Amino acid sequence: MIAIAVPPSTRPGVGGVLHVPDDRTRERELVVSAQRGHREAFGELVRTHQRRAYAVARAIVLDHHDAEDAVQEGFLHAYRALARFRPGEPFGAWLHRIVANAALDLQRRRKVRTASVLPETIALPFRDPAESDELRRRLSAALEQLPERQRSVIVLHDVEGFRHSEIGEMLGIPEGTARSDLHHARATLRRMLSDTRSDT
Amino acid sequence: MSDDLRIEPQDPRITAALRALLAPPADPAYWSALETGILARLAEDEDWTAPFARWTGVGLIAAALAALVAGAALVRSHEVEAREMATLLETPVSFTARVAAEVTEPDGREATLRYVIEP
Repeated sequence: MIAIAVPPSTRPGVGGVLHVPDDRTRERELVVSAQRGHREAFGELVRTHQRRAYAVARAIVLDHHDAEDAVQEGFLHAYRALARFRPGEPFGAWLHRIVANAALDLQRRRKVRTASVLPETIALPFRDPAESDELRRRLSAALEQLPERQRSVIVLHDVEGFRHSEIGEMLGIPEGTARSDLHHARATLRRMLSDTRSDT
Repeated sequence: MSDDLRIEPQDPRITAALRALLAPPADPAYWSALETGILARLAEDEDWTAPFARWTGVGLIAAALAALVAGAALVRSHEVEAREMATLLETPVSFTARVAAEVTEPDGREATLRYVIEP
């Protein structure tokens, strides 16, 4: 049993860094506890970071099931490497690098399949069904056309709100390359979807 | 963002569609199941590696013992060698052994002289 109490889960801020000092202290305690072999503490870290880890993986592999596999692999690698992690550093950023590597590895092995059908549980904002269906279908196709790295960068930046430096670290590319990839990805998607039926 | 000034501006319609397309599942049950799955895999991984971890421990102990035994044997062989050497030095060399040594191992100059003098 771990000695520390487990409060309700908190969602990490942008980039997986916890912004509230109490959360950082709490995370540090959990990491130290997990390093001492308390699996409950690691379970709490999983609970806190799995959504963000999923988003990172999904940005790279696109497919829901592949993203899930990458998240599982990532947490497994993180657990094995936990002894090497320095508790003072942000756990989220470290974990995201591991998950991104797991996703890139999975992508290399399987290559990208077509973007999967969304699970029924996903909450979508209300839109005109015809417009939203057409845009979604064409966006899926356009994402398939984008170079893999550009696709990951645009999703990590525009959807998940990661900074260029964080994206660079995750994907193992210079910050400038992440910026350039974002520029090209946005331009390509805009061009490819320019004739899609609009809301207005 | 200031560092995004030279970058193609974001298209809110595309960004919204991307968010919708790639949004993580909203159902808390999904996340509970994923967490359970991850922890189950950790447990499996530990179960699978635990025997190896034990073997590693046993292997390390065995290696340490072997190193100790080898060290002790080395020290002992040095002691025996030193004792034998001391015994050898303390033993007086007999006259015949000294002559035999002289005969079997002639000095180079003497050998040359003999070769020149002898018919």
